[in-house]
Amino acid sequence: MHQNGERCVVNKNTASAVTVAFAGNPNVGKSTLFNALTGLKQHTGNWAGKTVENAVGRCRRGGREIVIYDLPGCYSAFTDTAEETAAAAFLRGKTVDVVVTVISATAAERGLRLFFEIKKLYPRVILCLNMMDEAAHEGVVIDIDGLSKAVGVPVVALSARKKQGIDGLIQAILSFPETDAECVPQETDVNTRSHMLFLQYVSCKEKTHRNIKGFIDKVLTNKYTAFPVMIVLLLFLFWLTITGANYPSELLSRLFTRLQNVLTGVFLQVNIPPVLTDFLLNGIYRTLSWVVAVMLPPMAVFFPLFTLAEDCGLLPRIAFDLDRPFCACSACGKQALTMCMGLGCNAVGVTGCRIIESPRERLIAVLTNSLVPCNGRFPILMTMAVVLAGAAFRSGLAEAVSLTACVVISILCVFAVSKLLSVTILRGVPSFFVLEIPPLRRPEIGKTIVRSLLDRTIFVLGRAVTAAIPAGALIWLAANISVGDKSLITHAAAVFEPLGTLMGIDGIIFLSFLLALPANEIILPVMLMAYLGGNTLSAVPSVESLSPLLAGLGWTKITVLCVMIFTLFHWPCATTIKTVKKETGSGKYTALAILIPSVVGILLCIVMNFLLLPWKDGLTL
Amino acid sequence: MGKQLRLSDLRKGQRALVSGIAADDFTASKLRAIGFTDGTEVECRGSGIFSDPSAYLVKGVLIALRKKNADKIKCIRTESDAS
Repeated sequence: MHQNGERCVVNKNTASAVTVAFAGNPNVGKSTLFNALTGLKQHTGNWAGKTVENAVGRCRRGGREIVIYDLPGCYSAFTDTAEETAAAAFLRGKTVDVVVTVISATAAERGLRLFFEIKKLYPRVILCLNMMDEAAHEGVVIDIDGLSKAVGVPVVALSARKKQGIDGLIQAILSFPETDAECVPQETDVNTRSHMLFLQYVSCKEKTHRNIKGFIDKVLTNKYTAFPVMIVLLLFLFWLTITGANYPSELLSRLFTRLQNVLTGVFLQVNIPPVLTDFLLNGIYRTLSWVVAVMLPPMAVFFPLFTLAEDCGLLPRIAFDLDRPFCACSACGKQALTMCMGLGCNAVGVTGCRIIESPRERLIAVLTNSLVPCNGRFPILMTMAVVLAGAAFRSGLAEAVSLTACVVISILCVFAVSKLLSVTILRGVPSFFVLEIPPLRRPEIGKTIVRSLLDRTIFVLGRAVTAAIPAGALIWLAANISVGDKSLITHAAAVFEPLGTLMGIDGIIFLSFLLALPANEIILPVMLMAYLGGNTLSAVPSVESLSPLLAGLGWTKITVLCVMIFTLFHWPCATTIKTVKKETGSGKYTALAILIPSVVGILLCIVMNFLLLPWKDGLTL
Repeated sequence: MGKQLRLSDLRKGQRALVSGIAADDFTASKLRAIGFTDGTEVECRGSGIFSDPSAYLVKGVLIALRKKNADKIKCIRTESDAS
């Protein structure tokens, strides 16, 4: 694992720095505490298993540098799921000055059990009770001093979310005795000790919660309401995204057009050769501005909304509801979690698959993850939905419905492929399943929106620059360099024309999907560039003007539908492929991860094309 | 009172004390780490859309278990709630 390398660096460069590791049960707020101390932006979410990799950060307090490691959560220091090994292996390395065992004050007994296990491995430890605010709300009272005397190490109580009591933790870390604490062998086992301490120092006034959270919880897991509520929620999410993205998209589009005019003027004045101007402006600049104008706004709206849903604890409830069908497919219910992560980003979803203990079930989740459309594919799906619905339905609702339908179809496809895998190459029975359902939490709306908006915007801009610029350059060159009497792009498209036609699309569209391998965000811009590469169309086409444009290129409703299907199911983006290779360590499974969605997409497109062919004439745009 | 049951026999709202785990070492240690240690009080909180898995409140944490796994946990009923 990579932490070995990091450890060396720490030892060499920061001799006087205090090194600290945060360990603890999943979802007790280690990453929140880590962020509060280091000012870093580790992603946090209200569900067990959000952090799957060690993170390292630094802060300077009281004149000393503190190096902090945020370890993935674990239930026990002695068992063997992927993330638990990572945490336990780190602790066994014994390279930090202090281990802070973070436990939730609302689940103190279980936390204490892990604390004693960690203490066996690592005597230099501080016990940190997080979520004191939530515990107080639930009527839990903890005798901190008594507990501290009983366990024989410093005990700190705080609330990382509210940033209360964090100074106390820093003080405890900095004033931790230099001498090695001796390892006292414990006679009684960890279960008994934690239970006894819990009874002695933690008291809880039983409160019956008949509040809004209880109601939400009931609705979300009720036999009759759960599915409709989830669908409506998804609809609402997409509707907000579409409506919210409308205005900024138009604004950006206008802005970029104006800037292009200005740039053209400037280029003319400084006597830049017309060919170079054309290459820079109509090739690179145009692709880039299309990516940013069409793709960025929906993503910038959807991602914060998605993060909010994640923050309040929605995801584990979905996984809870969906475990039965996954079980029927011999897969793990936690695949629902990784699937939801895939809606944000497939690469993140694939890494998240580490929360699935069984290697077989983990592979199923990894191989099926890119069947779920990621955030980067929403804009093209949305645009296609608008084109399909026509100008009559510009309310956002028709698009939201089609997007929701897309997600539902992709989920059904995940089930089908999971089942297929588990009866063929990944045969086996469903294994042990345990899922922690965290309490619903009110998300920190303002902070989450600002944070994920900024993070996401910067990330997407970075990707747009690194993927769209070379793609734009390549397409411009291909469109303007001729071999024989045709341009390179016409030649390339001709290669894919037979397969494209069979699939209800054309060679250019197929080629665009291939060229968009670095990032799904650029499929549509690349496609438009490839179609219009030779032209000198300077304006960024708005969504409204796209429909006649595409109709002019010979598109029908069948084409639009097949493009949507192919957007849902085609090869994963380069980042996801790299992640699959890293996670599985196998070329064979990486190839499968590419092949599975591609084959599904191509087959579905062919079927759709042939089913709709008889009505082709009535399905013009 | 005091009847030996499997955890999966509990209905929504019913409580019981864990009295042992009849499973292989790996599963048993895993279940204990999550909180199902002997003598722990567990409350069944019902299931989701389908009848499986069910959620159990154990040591202040809500844990979902499949019936197949909950079958392995032996327990003794403590009280019967309203239902």
